[in-house]
Amino acid sequence: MDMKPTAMKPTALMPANSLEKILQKADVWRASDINHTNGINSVSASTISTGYDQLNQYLAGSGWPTNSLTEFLLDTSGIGELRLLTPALSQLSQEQNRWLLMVAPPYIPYAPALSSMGIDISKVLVVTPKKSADTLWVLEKALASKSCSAVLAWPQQTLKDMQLRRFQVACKAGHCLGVLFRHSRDASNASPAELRIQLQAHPASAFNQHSHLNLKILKRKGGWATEAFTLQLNDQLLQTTPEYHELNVNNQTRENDLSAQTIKHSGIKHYVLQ
Amino acid sequence: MSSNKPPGSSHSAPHKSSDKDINKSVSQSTNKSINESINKSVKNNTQKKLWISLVFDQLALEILSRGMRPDDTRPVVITEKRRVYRASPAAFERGIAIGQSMDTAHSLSSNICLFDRDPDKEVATLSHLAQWAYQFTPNVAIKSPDCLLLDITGCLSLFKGIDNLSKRILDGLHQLGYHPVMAVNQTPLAALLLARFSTSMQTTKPSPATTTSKTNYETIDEGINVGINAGINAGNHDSGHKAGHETGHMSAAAGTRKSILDSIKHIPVQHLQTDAKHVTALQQMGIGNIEKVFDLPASSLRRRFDTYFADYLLRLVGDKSDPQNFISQKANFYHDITFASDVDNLNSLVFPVKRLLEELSDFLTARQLQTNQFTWHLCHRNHGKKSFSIHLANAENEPKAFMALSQLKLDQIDDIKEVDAIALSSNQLFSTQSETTDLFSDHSFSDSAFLQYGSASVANSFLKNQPKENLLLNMLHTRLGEEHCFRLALADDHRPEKSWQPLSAFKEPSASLSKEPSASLNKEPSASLNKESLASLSRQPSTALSKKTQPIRPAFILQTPKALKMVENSPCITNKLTLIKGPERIDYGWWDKPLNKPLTRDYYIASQPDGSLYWIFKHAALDQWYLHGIFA
Repeated sequence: MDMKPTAMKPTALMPANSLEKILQKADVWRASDINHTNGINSVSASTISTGYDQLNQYLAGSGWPTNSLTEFLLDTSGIGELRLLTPALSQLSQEQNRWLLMVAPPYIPYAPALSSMGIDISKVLVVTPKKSADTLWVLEKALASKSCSAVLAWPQQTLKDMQLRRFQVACKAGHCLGVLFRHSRDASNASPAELRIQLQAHPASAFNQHSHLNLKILKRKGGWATEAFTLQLNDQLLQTTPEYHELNVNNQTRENDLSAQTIKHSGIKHYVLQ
Repeated sequence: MSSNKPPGSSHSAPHKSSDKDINKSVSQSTNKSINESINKSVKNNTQKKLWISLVFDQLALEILSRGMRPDDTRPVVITEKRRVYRASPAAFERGIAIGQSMDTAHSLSSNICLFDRDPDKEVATLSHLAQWAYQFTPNVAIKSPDCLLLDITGCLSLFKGIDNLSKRILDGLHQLGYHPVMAVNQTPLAALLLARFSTSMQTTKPSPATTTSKTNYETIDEGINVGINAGINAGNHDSGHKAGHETGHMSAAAGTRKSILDSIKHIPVQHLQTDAKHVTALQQMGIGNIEKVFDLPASSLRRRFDTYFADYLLRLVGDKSDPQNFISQKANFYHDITFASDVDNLNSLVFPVKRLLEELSDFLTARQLQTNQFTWHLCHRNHGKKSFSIHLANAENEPKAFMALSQLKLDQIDDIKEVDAIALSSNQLFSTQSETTDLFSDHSFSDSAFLQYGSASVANSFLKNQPKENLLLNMLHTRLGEEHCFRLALADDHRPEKSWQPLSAFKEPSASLSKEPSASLNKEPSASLNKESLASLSRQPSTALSKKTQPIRPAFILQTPKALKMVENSPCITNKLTLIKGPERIDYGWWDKPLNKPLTRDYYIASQPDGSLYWIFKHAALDQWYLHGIFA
């Protein structure tokens, strides 16, 4: 009979109490908590920061998922798709003693560039399979092997739903950052990947030092698809520069800037340190 | 303990009792001799020798049958001079007997596999088995045509006793597909005599017992174990006791002699490894077994027979030393399996492949070696030999990994229709390096360790202690081939194409190149440089600063620049390119290509209207634009 009074408590209080209790459970989360890392502990444990605060806000666990597949959908390479990943890749290659695998990249990954982006190139492994069947084999083996911190793949063929599902399962088993670079025409096809982002080039602007990238999240954990937004990549690619036909612009060097260096002949500054 | 079951003679079930008697007597004597030898070695410091003899009676057959799948029940017959020389149990089941003519054998079974005996192959196999036995003792001698002698005096305590050791040897040989007869005694000749005697006990009785070979082996194995155990118990109680008494008032040599004689006295004289005329003479004298030979006075024996025979008897019982010619270690591994019939399905090669890999692993273990390359040879009499090598990132000795890689390679073969022999060789052997692993760290490596020890050293040892990473690398390398799987390294050249190089996936990057980027990165984990590190950089500008101020480069590069077409005086890929940044002039290698004009390139970062960024250059001399990189 002791139970009865408690059960008969004023109804106004009851929902609040029980809701708090429910929210304290580990497997229950509020969609509004998605921006805060402490909101979803279980998710944040298996992500790696993108290195861009603006992007982190959109992603469950504030970063790229390291136990599930990510898809980048883009029309053409050269829009900053690797620069978007660079901070995370740099961190992974330095913190983890595992491979950073690139499967069937469309061009040769350029070692000096990767190295200057902060990626430890001694852990970069490039495979260029001859046959598309080999690409799939490599992808699944590498994702599931637990010996890769990140697997980036540019599959040439259209992937079937079943193949993607296997990659997703392998990614979960191998606990790595798996990124598929796919053509944007595949955006309309359903995919088991947990995170799908459409990338679009952002026209270069003369007023910006950094290049920009337009992102549209098509699918993400714990949230709806987003509208397109523009992300600034901290790459200093577009630093102000003279007209291309003026070959002898040697007058813009700031003498007191230790980090700025002028390269002979070209007279172009390269700011590496901010 | 002397008898074990060769596959060709599954007909000993009815004669088990007789075998057992011998087993018992042998094991008792063996055990006694062990007790004695242990006692003696402690007391007198003169250690008794102990020998194992292995008689591969069915060697001619086993060379072929060991490549067959266990469920393959075709009868196999080895012929010599058109007569049946050895036959598989399946052949015995069909009524084939040793000594029959080939025609009779054919008429008894239609799907019979007939092979001519290949003595060269037997010799080679025996020598290979001797190398295999090297893992137990360094003193292995080959007794032609079919016997191995192992001096196990020194390794008994290592293998914890004779029963353990003999079980390990027999298990190992069964694993490889050989079923020899084993005997233990204190002199090589006595051990040989025992083994040959028990061989003859099995083969001379013409009884085509129809038992499946497997269960038969098991019972025999158990029989051996029981025999040994019984022998040991018995030895502890009476013979050991007796031996202890005997040693008190008997000289060591006499004790040995007596125990050896005890173990072989029942053996009929025709099994003595001597001239047939001696045996005949003994039999004519009415001497039936060996005990009676030794009852004869030695002087009369010497008079009646030649000195060789007298000498043989002395060596038999250990009165005279009998030095053996021990094998020397072979440097490389090579072994093969010949199949009883052509194998047209490469999937069925898995079984022999596994067998050979186990042999390779045993070979490496015995010598404390590792290998980073092994080669498979698939042979067929019609199309010759096809070889393929498997390279490993690091030298190792992991039969399971070897198997996985071999299977990958076998799966890829599509131009071989049939195979009649498979061989495995390995020439690149390295001594095993003892691995020191961190007691506390698990596989994934922590930040603190990384910062503490510096990434350069960690990067260089990246592959060393990473079995999993190695396995992936080995698998990719094996399936895709060397040219499709590479790592990246910096090269010491300012020209874009030459400032990197593909690195064989198995090579460690050279120290100077790999250290530089990772070391400088390591100093700066937060990607922002503080005053202190800046000062340290300015002190050593040659390496660190030059790395810091690296010009901006695209993440993707074209190995050969692609000429661009011009649209309205602007270079164009799919759309008109706008130059955004540049130029950066890179002087081109006049030292590589001596030309009249200097080849300079002016590099620009250019953008298409949609915003994609490219790295292009203008060849001033040729007035031509090229695409060289993509800012991915």
